[in-house]
Amino acid sequence: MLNLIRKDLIMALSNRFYIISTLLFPLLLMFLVDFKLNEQIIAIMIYAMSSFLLNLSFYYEEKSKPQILIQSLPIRKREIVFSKYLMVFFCYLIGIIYVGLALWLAKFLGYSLHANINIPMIKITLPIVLIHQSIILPLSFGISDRLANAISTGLLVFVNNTYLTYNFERTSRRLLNNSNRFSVALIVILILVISNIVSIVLYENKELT
Amino acid sequence: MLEVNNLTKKFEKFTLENISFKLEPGYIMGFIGPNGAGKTTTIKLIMNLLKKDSGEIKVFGMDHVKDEKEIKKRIGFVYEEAYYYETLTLKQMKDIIAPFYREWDDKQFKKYIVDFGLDMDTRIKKLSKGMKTKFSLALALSHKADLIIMDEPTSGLDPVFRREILDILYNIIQDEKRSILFSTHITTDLEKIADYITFINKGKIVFSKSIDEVFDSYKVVKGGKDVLDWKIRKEFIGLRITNVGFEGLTEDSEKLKRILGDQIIIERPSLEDIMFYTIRG
Repeated sequence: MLNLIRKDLIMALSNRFYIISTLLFPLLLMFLVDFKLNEQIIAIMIYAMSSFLLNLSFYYEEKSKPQILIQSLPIRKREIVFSKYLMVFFCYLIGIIYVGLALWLAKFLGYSLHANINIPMIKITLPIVLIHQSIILPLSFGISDRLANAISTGLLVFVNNTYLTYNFERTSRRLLNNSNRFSVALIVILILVISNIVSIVLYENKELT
Repeated sequence: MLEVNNLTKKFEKFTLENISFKLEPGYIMGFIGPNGAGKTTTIKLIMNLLKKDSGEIKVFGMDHVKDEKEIKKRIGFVYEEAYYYETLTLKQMKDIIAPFYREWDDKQFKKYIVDFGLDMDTRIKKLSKGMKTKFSLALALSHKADLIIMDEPTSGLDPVFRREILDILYNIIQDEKRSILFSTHITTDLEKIADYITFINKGKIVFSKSIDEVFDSYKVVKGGKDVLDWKIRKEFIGLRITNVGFEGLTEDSEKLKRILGDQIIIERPSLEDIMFYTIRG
């Protein structure tokens, strides 16, 4: 399974244009808002970074037919599915670290930031990233990578707009207060498990003609 | 090594029906048939890239679905189309594939790369079809695979490299433990190296025999048009009549020899003759 994650990383790093664009995104966003960063903007950075990184692996799958090659290697189909779900966490982690570094760089250059990465932000962005990918991955495994990529981009724009429209702190507080915290976690885990099962069933029955 | 029994797969416009054949260790089986006969579909079913409707596929005595991972560790594959990530270099692609095989032999791989004249820093999209096949072959032969499955590996290759591939394959099976399933419509390649021939047409097996049996069973008969009456015609699987005479494929050359004696010439057919007359009729 780690070999598959390694494969996705090799592919991601091989596309210099896409990887540079992805890495420039948080910096560009900071410039656009004139470094007046609030928690909403930082959350969008983390969410977008994670999604862009994961979309990169779909980008290659839709360009050619490497699934025939991958499925001919000694690996079970369910391992291929699991590896993509692991990649979601991995990409989220990279997103957090990279955005953290970008914020540190901005502070180092003398910009005063009014917000930073904190635990409530992780508590709100991680479920969003997980739900986003729980919708996208079954589409990718069962239907087509092209469709998954298009819907992923649409979803990203929709969620970000919703984020900007509604008050981030109020939403976070409401969702993550003591009474809701466990039910939110439970719902996200349930969605993730159902998505994983659906992806496995779809992929195991997918025919590579 | 490889056993396919009554394999059936239905598509909207094509059905692969009751395919059965067996490949023993140490042999090369040529899998022949015209385009669209079902060769690639059969190979995809063996590799579990397609779901069978019914039948059984056993590789190394194991079920090809249940023991998919174990089986694929011991299979080397070369497909007609190279399904690689086109933007990667050969080195990057090798770095993706090699870790999946416990028995990966990097020394062997590098030797093939040098022998085949490949540059590891070249991007896959810049390779010709022949170069991609060479790369596929180097990958397939570098992890000590017991079964090598090749789907039209020689199409698009020049005769010199085709001959080189055949020599490599011939050397591979000399230890009598490894086998090769070689699908092709370039039958002249197989006449040089195949031990068994499985002929498929319109999704059905025409025959699966040793190459000696094939050449013992079928004969090409040539003669003048005047000897062809309806009784003689029905002895032929396929017949071609020209201005000067006829040429046909038969499974009972002895009977024709008894009836027509010196009026006909009986010759050993090529696999191409067998394919041509069987398909055309």
